Amino acid sequence: MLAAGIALVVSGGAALLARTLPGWRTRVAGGGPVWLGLAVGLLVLWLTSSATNLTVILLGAALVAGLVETVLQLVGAPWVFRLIGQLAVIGATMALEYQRGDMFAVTAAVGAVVGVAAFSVIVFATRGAALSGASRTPPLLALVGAVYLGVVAWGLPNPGVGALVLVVAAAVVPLAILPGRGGPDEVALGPVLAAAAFASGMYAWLANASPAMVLAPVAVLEVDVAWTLVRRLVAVDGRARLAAAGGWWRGLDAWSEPATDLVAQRAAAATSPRAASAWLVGATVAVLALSVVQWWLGVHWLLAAAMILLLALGWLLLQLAAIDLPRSDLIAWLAGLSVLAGVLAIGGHLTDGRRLVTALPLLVALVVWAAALPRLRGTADRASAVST
Amino acid sequence: MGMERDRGDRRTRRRLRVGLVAAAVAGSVVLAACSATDPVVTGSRPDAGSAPSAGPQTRTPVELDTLPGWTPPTSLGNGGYARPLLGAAGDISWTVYDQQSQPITNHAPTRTVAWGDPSDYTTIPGVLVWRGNNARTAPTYGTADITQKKLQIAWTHDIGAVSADGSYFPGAGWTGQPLLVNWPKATKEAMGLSQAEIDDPGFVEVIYPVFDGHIYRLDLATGTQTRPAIDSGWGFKGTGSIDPRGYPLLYTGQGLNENGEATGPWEYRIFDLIQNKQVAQISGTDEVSHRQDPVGWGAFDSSALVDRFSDTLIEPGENGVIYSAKLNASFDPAAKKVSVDPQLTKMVYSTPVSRQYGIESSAAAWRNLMYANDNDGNLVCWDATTLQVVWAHNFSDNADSTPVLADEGGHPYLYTGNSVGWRGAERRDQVTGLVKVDGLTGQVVWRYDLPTYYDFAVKGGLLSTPLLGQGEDSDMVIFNVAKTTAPSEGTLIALDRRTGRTIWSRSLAHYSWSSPVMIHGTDGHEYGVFGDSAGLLHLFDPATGHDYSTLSLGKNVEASVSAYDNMLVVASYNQKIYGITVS
Repeated sequence: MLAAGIALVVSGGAALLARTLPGWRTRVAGGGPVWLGLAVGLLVLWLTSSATNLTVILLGAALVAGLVETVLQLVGAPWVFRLIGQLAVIGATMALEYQRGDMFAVTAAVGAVVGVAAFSVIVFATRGAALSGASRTPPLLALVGAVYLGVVAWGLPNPGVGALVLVVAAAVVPLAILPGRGGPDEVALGPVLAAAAFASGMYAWLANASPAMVLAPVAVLEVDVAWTLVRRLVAVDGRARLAAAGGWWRGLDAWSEPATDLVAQRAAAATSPRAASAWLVGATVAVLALSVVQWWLGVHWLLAAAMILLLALGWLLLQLAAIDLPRSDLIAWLAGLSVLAGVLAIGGHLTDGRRLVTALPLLVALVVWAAALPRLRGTADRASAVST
Repeated sequence: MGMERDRGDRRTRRRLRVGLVAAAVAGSVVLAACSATDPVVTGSRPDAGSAPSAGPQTRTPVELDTLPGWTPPTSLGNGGYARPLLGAAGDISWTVYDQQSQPITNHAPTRTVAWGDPSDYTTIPGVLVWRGNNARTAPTYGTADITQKKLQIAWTHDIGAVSADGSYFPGAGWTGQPLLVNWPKATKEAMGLSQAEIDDPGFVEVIYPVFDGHIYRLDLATGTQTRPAIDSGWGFKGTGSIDPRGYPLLYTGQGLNENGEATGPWEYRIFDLIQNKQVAQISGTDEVSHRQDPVGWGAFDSSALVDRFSDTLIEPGENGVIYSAKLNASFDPAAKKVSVDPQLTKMVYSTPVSRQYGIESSAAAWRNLMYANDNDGNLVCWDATTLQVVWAHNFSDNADSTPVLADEGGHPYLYTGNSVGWRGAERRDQVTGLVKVDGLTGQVVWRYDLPTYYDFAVKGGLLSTPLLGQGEDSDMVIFNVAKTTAPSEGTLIALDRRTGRTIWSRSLAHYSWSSPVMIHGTDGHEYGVFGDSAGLLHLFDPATGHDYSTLSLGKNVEASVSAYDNMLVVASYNQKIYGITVS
């Protein structure tokens, strides 16, 4: 509690001071205070003998990873170099964990790959939010994730994870409340939120939270980023953008460069930033609630991960409908989602057998259908108005 | 333009320097934390050195109907009985069977099975059974002259390994305490030891059943072989028992029934140490067993208690059966003959929360009341004479640790705890509950919870047996709990015997299944010793939890140390038995 309190004061104070920072410092005005809050929180935990070795190793390494990523962004390093930087720090951390005996070599390798992927997704999405002027949404999602991991830590239970997410939540709170700092050029918030997510997620995984439970807080973001990156490769405007970069090396950088084409950003443009943010946060909360229910029911993690993905895809579908998806396509996609839910229901019946577990994916599909109803009606009205 | 570019470059370099310095500072914090010694958190110690008073214990059996809150069990017919289970809904039900597995409807044996004061368990000097006596409180014997507070390897003896149960078992494992026996001269003569060994009143023999299926017999002082190792063919995992009458009989359970490609029968084995061979056995494949997961598992990790007055051995099995054997043992030193012909009575119980139906802990005994933990988290008390269940308390999940017994004011109390098994698989309630339990009623006196990591292969929680403090540390009980602050780490914690409050708690860099022991110094101080999974043997101060020194035994020390005066013996995964001097 002491560490969290001090992290809150330091982060909040630094966030207020960041208003007056001149020059390049405005580029770290969002993430800098959070980084400082986390670092001081870790230091207090350590000095008061409240930090477990895992807290020190994971949060310490995550802070280094965040710092490296921020510095590399500040100097304009290409994406591949930044990726190598993340892999070096996160890979070294996983190697240390393997050497300590906390995990087998295979799980450490998987942890490094998943850790780097999740880190990159968060950096990408947060930078996108900054470019859209939605700088409060990422800290809000981080807070939601911290509360969820707090519930996980309480239920397992694990005081190390609990203390860590408390410090993370305290360091992030000021950024979720105060108006955004730094503007579209801010580069530090993504790395520091990714660092916090990596440390707390990896700790929760080591504490026996399932991969589905750990990845749930970033499930919606992952779907959004994955959709966007694939779209950049297959859609006409995306390919044109890559071609305009000139050369494969620059094209690779352009492909991985955050812009304003995330589904959430496009939805914000088509509807309103507030509505899009509410959908994003709401969907994440729904995913986390589903994850907790599945944890409580003891659903196998693969099935649980698939149901989380199903719900995240539902969000994607609804957002695409809000952007420009025609009614007929929406119905087709919803039908596809329902088929997927049916497959998962059969899988649940065969592998688990409980009625509730079997019904759960169907309930998820039903919720998505219900949420899509206004869109279906609205699109129908528009279509009939055009025809007349 | 050029000057602006220069300024920009300088700024960029400055930013890089700042970043690198910050990264170096953060990295240093991580490295410093990793290289630090085990941190110890200290609590209060209001009763330092003062044990709860203990009266002399007699072998007189407790009349069950005089126990507080006693109610007779409900008869279920055909020899079956039941009584309410504590800590969970439902009843514990049990049946007593004869050797032919026929239910005994009115079991009323004429001989009384009971134990007296733990110091009377045997008159033979040494450590003859897991933790030395029926209370499981004497894992060491004698006193040690300790001035330098150092451990040093005096000798080693090479041992092997076995592949079994889809895994590889090198050296010695849990619980793996070597037996140390200062035999009477006539017994040494009967066993055909060398004349020098016979003539040496200080000669102590190490008898050590280990993973490779051999029982090694060594001279404690030198590590030389006293008799050829007995090859049983199948690996030993627990700890053996020497007949407390000084009869040259070794009782020891088989822990594995595979040896590479070969598979053999499950047996609790009795060895004649004169002929140096197996002479009797109890089969672990028993038709009355309820054993599940895996079905048919019949290992014996428990170290049997023998009541030398009634010639009775009691051994709980991993098949969930508690065996009482009238040994019909005799020893004629002059004729150099020892004989044994066990006649069995057995008891099997079941609870609504049972999933595995097995017992890996050794039993403790207070007069005629016996106590053991089972693989379903039940702490069960039964009458050693009639084998009827007196009470059973479910603490959830799994418990492998041997309960330690303390007589406090003429009243028995047990110190024990559980481990994280199926709760971890279900991802909930991952705590090790350390408890003090009233031995007459099964009620919890205090409980201390430690969050624990789940590992299917290497369990987290209390696998070791608690260490009851002695002498200046008699106000505490020390628990060694595995996988607490990280999957690779553990916690060694000393709790106040009266209140359960923390006296000190030490975070271990490497978890441990090894049971800590206490060596009594000639200087009046107590010295603690335990091994860890990194292969370190720790000599520590039980008053503070801090190490005096450590000694590397190469690999995981899962087994527990035995000590006789200044000599310690234990084997590690390094496939060696180590003789170690403490100085």
